[in-house]
Amino acid sequence: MRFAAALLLLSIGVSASAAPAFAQTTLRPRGYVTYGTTVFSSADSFEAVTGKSSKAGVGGGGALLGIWRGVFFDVGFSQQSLDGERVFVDGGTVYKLGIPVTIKMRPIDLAAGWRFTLTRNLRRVSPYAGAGASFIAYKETSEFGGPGENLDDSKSGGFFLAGVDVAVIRWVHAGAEYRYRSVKGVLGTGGVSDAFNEDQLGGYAFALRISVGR
Amino acid sequence: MFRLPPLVAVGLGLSVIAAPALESQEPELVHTAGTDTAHAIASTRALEEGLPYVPGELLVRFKDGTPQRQSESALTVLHSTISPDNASWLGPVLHLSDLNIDDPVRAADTLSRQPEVLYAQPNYLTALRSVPNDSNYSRQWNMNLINMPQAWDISRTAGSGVTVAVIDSGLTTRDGTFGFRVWTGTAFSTMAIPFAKAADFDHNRVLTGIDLQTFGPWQTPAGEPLIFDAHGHGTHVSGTIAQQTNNNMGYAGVANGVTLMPIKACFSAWDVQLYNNHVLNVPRFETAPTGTLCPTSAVVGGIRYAADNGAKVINISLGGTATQPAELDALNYAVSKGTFVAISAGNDALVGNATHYPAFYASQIEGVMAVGALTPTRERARYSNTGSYVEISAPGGAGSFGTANDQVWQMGPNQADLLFAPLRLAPAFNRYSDLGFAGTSMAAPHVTALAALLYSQGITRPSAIEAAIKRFAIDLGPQGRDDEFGAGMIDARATLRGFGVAR
Repeated sequence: MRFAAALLLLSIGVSASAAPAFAQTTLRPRGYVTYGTTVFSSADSFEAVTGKSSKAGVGGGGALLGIWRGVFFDVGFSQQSLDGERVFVDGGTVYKLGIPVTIKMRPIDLAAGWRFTLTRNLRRVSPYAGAGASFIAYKETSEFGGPGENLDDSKSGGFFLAGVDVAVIRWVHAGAEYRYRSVKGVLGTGGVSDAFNEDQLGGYAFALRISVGR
Repeated sequence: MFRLPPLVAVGLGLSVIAAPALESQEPELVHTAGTDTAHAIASTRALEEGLPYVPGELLVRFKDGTPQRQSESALTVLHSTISPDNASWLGPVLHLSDLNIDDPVRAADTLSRQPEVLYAQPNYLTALRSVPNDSNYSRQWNMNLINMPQAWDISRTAGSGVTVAVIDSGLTTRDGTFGFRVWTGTAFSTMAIPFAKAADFDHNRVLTGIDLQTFGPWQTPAGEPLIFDAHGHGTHVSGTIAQQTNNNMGYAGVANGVTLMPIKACFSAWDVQLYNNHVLNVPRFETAPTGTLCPTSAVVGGIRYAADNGAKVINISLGGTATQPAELDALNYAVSKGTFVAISAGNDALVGNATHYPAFYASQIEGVMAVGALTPTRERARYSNTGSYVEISAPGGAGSFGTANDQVWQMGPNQADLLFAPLRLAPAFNRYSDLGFAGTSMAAPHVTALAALLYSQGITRPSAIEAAIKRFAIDLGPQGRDDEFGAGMIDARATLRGFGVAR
């Protein structure tokens, strides 16, 4: 909740402070918060250890619109924190070993994209799509680890987003969004992800998004 | 026409044979219970003549669904009388004794060619293989080598609730002094032989066990089983698995929370002499065997007994070079009951490196592992067999190629008390001291104990236990599996810790 509150304050702060400065230009900054579910690409691995192949969570970020026609830039943050226990996998059977493990993932998504303008009757509705890069910081810790066995690493990969905004009231937009991240290099070389031949750290996410800004 | 004994009714339980009547003396004389005298006499002959099998005995399995009449017909090629007195079932295997055959190997071959017979084999005497050493030091390098201190942090109960069977020379599980009639060289004399429960074990977690070897079982005057280790091998192996730990004495055991099930399947010199003197009134000192021997029938019976009585892990630190289809059957049976088995790979690398059985069968069964031996420097012990059947390695000690510090140390029977006649007229089984042994016999119990820890942690399928032990082994020698080390050296900490998502 503190993370969500901080994001909300940040998004309001970004839009409130930036708006006057850009009032004379066509640039339109927005801050936003999201709440949604990420479905992990390495679903079997996360399911085995944490009992979950997806995770709901909050996120946030900022976007800059009106750069040139429908072009926008977007930077988003989110966080997933999962608890589970270490396992052994044999022939598809998962044996829980009773050793707690904590996983924290913090993706940062950078994208450029295009906002589409619809007909006059649907002017309040704004679909958008973009692509860019995702940087994911991944931390996995558990007890009884030797040197190098607790992982704190980050890798980057491709990112795609698409969504639609509806202007609810002045400066406030509500919408839904789809994000897909493809990040390799962290999973698949050890642990249960190696056993399951899964190497994708990313996944896809559906989220509700509230934006504040012009 | 003879009749085969019914499968269910005969089993392992036989009638009690009372000891010969003797003048009343103190202490009270012990008795044997259920000894097959013909089997004992034949085994004694094997020892005297250095035979690799019990003469006049065979183990035979008929093909499934063979009618009894045809089975009986097949046995006629033996030209021997067969009755419930000399035939008993070990699961699906018929143990025949007191047969009128000169050469069990040839007789087994003849019988195997009968269409009703799946296999037939002699009742081999396989050996426990370890190299005793002086016991002036107590140093368990083996525990650090496989990361046990960290593993104990993970497995705080150290296998509590898991029963581990040790098929070996036994473990002394009773206190007391009992009278045995022994030969002094000139006459028989009833001597008081003291027994004490094996030291440095928590006997609340040691089952009474069972004595299946040829020259027993014994009963106290009160009719209680008297099981004892007349050699030390079984105690040493049991110690590596479950020696009481953190008790300010002795040594540590890898899985020191497990419940031990001692199964005495092997006999040594004092077993033979006490039986022959006390029961058969044979007036002589035994000169053989120098080590311990284990009839196939006892090993097979032990495996089945363990699997049927709740053991989830079995240690078999014995073997020989003859094929043992009856043991293969028993191993499959144990795994089918959810029991993991670790077997020593053999100590013959320097004397021909002949394939060792039943270790050879391990590679055919997921859930049974053949274990090679390592020195303190992670090298293959020179005596440790190599071959395609070696699946994993564990500390076994350097043997004669190392110092006393390079052996595997546990508490065991005081070896001076077991010196053989005429150096001693009677043994004592009540004192324990440091015992340094080396061999694949010492390596296997490390794997057995690790399997028990894994079982306790929730990996309960034998094949999964094997997979886990291999997966987390530290690769030694050429990359990947090889014939010297198998998958490598066990790493208890890594195996118990398992997988996270990424690491």
